[in-house]
Amino acid sequence: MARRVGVIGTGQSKYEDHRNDVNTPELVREAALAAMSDAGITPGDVDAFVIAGASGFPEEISFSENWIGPAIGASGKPLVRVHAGTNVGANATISAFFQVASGAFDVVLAASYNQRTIEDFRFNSMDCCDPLWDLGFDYPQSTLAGLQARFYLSRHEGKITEEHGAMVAVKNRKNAVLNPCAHVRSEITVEDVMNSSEVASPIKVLDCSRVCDGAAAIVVADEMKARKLNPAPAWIAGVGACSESRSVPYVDMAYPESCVRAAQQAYQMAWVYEPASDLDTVEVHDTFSFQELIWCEALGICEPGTAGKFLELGGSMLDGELPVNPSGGVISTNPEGASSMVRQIEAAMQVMGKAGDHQVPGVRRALAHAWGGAIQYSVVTVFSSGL
Amino acid sequence: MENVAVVGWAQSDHRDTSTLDTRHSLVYKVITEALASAGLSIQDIDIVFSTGSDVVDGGCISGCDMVGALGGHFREESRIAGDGLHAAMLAQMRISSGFYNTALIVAYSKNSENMSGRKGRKMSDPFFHRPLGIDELVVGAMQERAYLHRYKIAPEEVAGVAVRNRKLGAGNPHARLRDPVTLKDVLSSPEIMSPIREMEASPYSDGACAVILAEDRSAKSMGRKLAWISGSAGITASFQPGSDVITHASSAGKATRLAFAAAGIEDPSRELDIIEAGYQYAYQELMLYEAAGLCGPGEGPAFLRAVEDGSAGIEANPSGGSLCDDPRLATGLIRLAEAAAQVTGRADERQVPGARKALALVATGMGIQCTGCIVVER
Repeated sequence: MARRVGVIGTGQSKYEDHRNDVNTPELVREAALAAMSDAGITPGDVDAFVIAGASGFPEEISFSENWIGPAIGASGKPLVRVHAGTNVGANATISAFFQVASGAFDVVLAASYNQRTIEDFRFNSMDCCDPLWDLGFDYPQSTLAGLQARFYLSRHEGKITEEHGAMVAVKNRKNAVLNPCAHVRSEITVEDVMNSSEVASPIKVLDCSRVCDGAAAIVVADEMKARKLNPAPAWIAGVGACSESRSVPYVDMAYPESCVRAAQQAYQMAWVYEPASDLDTVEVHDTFSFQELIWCEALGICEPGTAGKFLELGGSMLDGELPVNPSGGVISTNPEGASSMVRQIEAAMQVMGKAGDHQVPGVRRALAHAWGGAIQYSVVTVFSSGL
Repeated sequence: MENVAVVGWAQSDHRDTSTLDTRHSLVYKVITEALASAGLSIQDIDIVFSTGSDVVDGGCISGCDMVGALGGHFREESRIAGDGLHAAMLAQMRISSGFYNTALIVAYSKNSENMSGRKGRKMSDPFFHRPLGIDELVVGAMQERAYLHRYKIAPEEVAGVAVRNRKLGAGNPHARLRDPVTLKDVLSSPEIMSPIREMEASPYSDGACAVILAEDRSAKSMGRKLAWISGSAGITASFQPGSDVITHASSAGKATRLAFAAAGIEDPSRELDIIEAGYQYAYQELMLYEAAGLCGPGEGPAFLRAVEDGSAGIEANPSGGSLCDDPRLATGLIRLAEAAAQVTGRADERQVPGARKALALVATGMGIQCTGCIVVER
């Protein structure tokens, strides 16, 4: 029988376009120390560490975990690094969860970060493409997301419009004003979004998140330690992860199967039967505005094609029946590899009642979602205030 | 906690040059073979762990176009850095948590497609060490120099490690270097960084390895001899060479202590039948034996002589180890596959008679900063 695992501390660094004031270990240390202090522990109390690094390629360092480890107190301790797409931070938390659930360790810290050493991000994400088949097509992440949004719009013609994407950006940017950790904290209007220049039709500049440097960390512990250290931990009630082959023509980007399956796995574990009513708030990985609508449908929160209506009626607003991205989401804060962990941190904070000005009242169960790669990795985590 | 067994494994024939195999076909072949060796199909696998390197593959998030080849389509595929042996430990935890019954671990590298040495250099601190030219090889050379000096060990003793491994590797069909060498050959091979000679350094290779783990009940239902994991641990020590005592492999010391404690091993040199160690430079094998408590500090050479004449009661690297082929990132997982093969009596021509308990260990990083180890027994 697996042990129960709770989140006992979370931490985020300061987010900026470029954190040139620190090197990568110092950046991760900022978040890790914040998480440990939140949990009321010191590095000596942590049994094992997980570092999430999307890729050693843009960082220009291989095995960066060895470099970062000592800065967060991991020297002489078990330390692993997980790789993935932007979902990597969420994967690290899942890895930490199973390290504790299995009984191998009592307290595990997972940390994630983003610090771009190569300035030209477009070049950077191009490197993800197959060097033989895909590189010639010249598509960065925004092109892929543009294709995704186009599929989604055409599938639900008449039900989902470009304005719905703009409304997501407006809603999330408004929520971010209430979140002191957020990177971009200014409101915009639907007109602003619609009039902003086109990046990859139908996606416009203000439909996109703005990539920033930053780090996030999360401390998980077994039931006994968690209860001792935190009066109200956020229990990890369900986790699910699923991957899909990277084949753009065959992945249903408007309703990704990997997301559906990851959610099913997490719901089964967390006893979530009706996601729309069983969950109290949701943090989804909205790197691009339309994605919030797509994930809400794939997660079973809305029927396919109805996420636009749900948004219009205010259901996903901060004071709606199921607030989506009360933190302002990835649109407002995108430290890439760490963004997926920030979703978990925000969901956990909601469950612990520690979200401050963007707290949703009475949250008992919250979901965090993450995606990565060529819309092929999905991770779903469900947090609960009770066991 | 659930008991976890190693139920299937396969490795490629490691080569120095690129074949027609892409990294996709390289992993696909070993996975197919490993599944067959366990009598399973990919549908029986609950989770896939992979180990590869973006820097070796030359692409960002290089695993994302390999999900299909890795068997990760519509299941969880999790990628781990360092070595496949560390991924195996995480897989073991997943199974012992009770949520998963089976796990497939795959590790690969195609070093032939990479600029030689690039990876090692990129491992060091970019601000303080790299401008000085300090990389894995430089730290290795400094470590060997300090080790030889401290314990008055002759260069011939280190060269002897290479001679011994190359002799054993000649009997391993997967090995890349399969021709025995003499002490004179090793000592006259060029110094790549004094005092490390070419034949004392692991040859980067192309290769892959796949291992399948299963929980107690499914493993037992397979009706064959199984290699049970009785202890495992991974430790990362300081990144700054010299902040620890450089002549002692502290990460290996701590990792083996933890793994032996879990496996109930009190006297490793008496209780273990086999040790399979992966590392980069010949002197490290001696330091690893000392750190694992198989002998005292500085007694590595004497211990290896005792292994050689049979008085140690333990066999070291019957596969020829990583001095015969080093598909980095897969090297440690290959040690686990070899250890499992030995304790189940399936090691073919390199079988050590009566082997029941084996340690698979891999030491990586600047001055063997990281160690992962797993004890398997029949």
